[in-house]
Amino acid sequence: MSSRSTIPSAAVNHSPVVVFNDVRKTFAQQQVLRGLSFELQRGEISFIIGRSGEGKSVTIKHIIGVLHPDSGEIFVNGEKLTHAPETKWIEARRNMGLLFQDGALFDSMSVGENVAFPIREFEKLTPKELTQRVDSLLELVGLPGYGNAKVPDLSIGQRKRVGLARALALNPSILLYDEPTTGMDPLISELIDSLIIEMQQKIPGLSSVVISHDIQSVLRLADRIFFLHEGKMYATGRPVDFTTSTDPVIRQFITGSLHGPLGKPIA
Amino acid sequence: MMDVALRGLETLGGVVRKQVIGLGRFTLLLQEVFFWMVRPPLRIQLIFKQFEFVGNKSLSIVTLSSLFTGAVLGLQIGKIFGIFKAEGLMGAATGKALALELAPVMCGFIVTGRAGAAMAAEIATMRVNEQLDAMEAMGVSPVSYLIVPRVIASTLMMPLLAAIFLFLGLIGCYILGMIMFKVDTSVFVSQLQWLVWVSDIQKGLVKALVFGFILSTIACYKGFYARGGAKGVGEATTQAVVASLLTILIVDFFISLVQMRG
Repeated sequence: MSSRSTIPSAAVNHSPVVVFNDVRKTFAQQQVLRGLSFELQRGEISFIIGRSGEGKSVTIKHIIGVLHPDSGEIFVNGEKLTHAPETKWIEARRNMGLLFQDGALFDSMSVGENVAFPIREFEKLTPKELTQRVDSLLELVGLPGYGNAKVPDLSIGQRKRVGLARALALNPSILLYDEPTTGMDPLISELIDSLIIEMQQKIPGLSSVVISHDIQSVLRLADRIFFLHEGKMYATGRPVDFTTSTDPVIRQFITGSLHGPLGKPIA
Repeated sequence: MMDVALRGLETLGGVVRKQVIGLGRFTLLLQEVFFWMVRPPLRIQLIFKQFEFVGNKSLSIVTLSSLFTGAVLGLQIGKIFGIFKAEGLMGAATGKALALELAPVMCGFIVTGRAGAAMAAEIATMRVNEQLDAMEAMGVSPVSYLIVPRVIASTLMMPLLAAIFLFLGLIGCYILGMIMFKVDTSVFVSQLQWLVWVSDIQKGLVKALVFGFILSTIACYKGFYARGGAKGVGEATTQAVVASLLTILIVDFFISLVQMRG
């Protein structure tokens, strides 16, 4: 397989939930995205992988509209949002949930208040309805009865779960995970993986986008993998396409070898 | 020689560029603050929480510092006026100084040190811990949620604090005048009424209003653009305090000029 090629994969008849078309982004003379194009399919678990510094987090920030491209086009749920006004982005973000690396919980609020935050902002519920909703979300992520707990008292795994409950609060159609298993021990990684699968199964029509370095998770969970390399989409395909690929770049990344075209990482 | 000059020019250019970028960012943030001030939702609950934080929690320190500021000012003025046997005027002179300058400026300093620093530190911590990104990702503007309530509360609470400072400063001065200079109460009050006009108090309160806006916007701006972990939070807090204090002093001069001509 030649480099910068698309791995042939089984056609899935779903309209794309996110489309990037020749997206470019430069920070202080450092070109991070160099004409990035891809389509994330609705109802799938899509993993965006690549070496550190290749622009995976930048890509996710473009999907939620926190960053805007220098050029190119971005479509979310069929709507072109490339240079849409902030009000339009705010509307679009209501349809998305983002789980940050360490949860990014508001430490001045309790667990329940964190989960209730987006609901309070966008929906008019009675206090009783709000409490019920928060309780059911906490139950969904396996933390029933944690509503009054303080954020600093939570373990990292619990923080991620609260972050997930908060991300799910507005019933998003797109759920984004920014390196959910980074720095986790294998048991918590496994737990997070099962949460991703569980959410996908429990919420119909949900599209999950996961940024990860954890190849085991990627190969186990992904419906489709997007391999970002040198600011472009180097390859996309099913896990099996990646495990059977003979492309030296993909092989080196998948096997974690120090020898190959990607070179040695700088520790 | 040429090299040194070029390097100096380059450094100067870098500093100017940084300042211009900072000013541009500050202007954009101000624009967003004004935008969200007139746009729903008006976060009444958060504004009241900030009223409590900026006003109520500053009250004890304002009380203590105003009593002593009034007393020490009365002491110095009373001593000088004593040379001319005009101790009775000490209340009036202290009142004038407090109303026009000391109450708004001192309150500005106190609120900057107490509330402004806390605002910068809190928002900076939220920035470096990705909490602001999370808020934005949820479709909630951090400017609307965090900055606007702080700016509104600081701007409205500062005149109130300045008025309290003025009143308690005069009490401090009066107590000192009675004890040390044996000033008669009726003389103290009549001279005060003769020299300190309602317009003086109004001018001071306008200043306090402006200072409240300045210190809160600067504190929030420094916190909002903080970078780089715990060190970044510390730097943002220090910069917020220093920039607010200097700006208050500079703006005070220009407002005084305008008020004198008006």
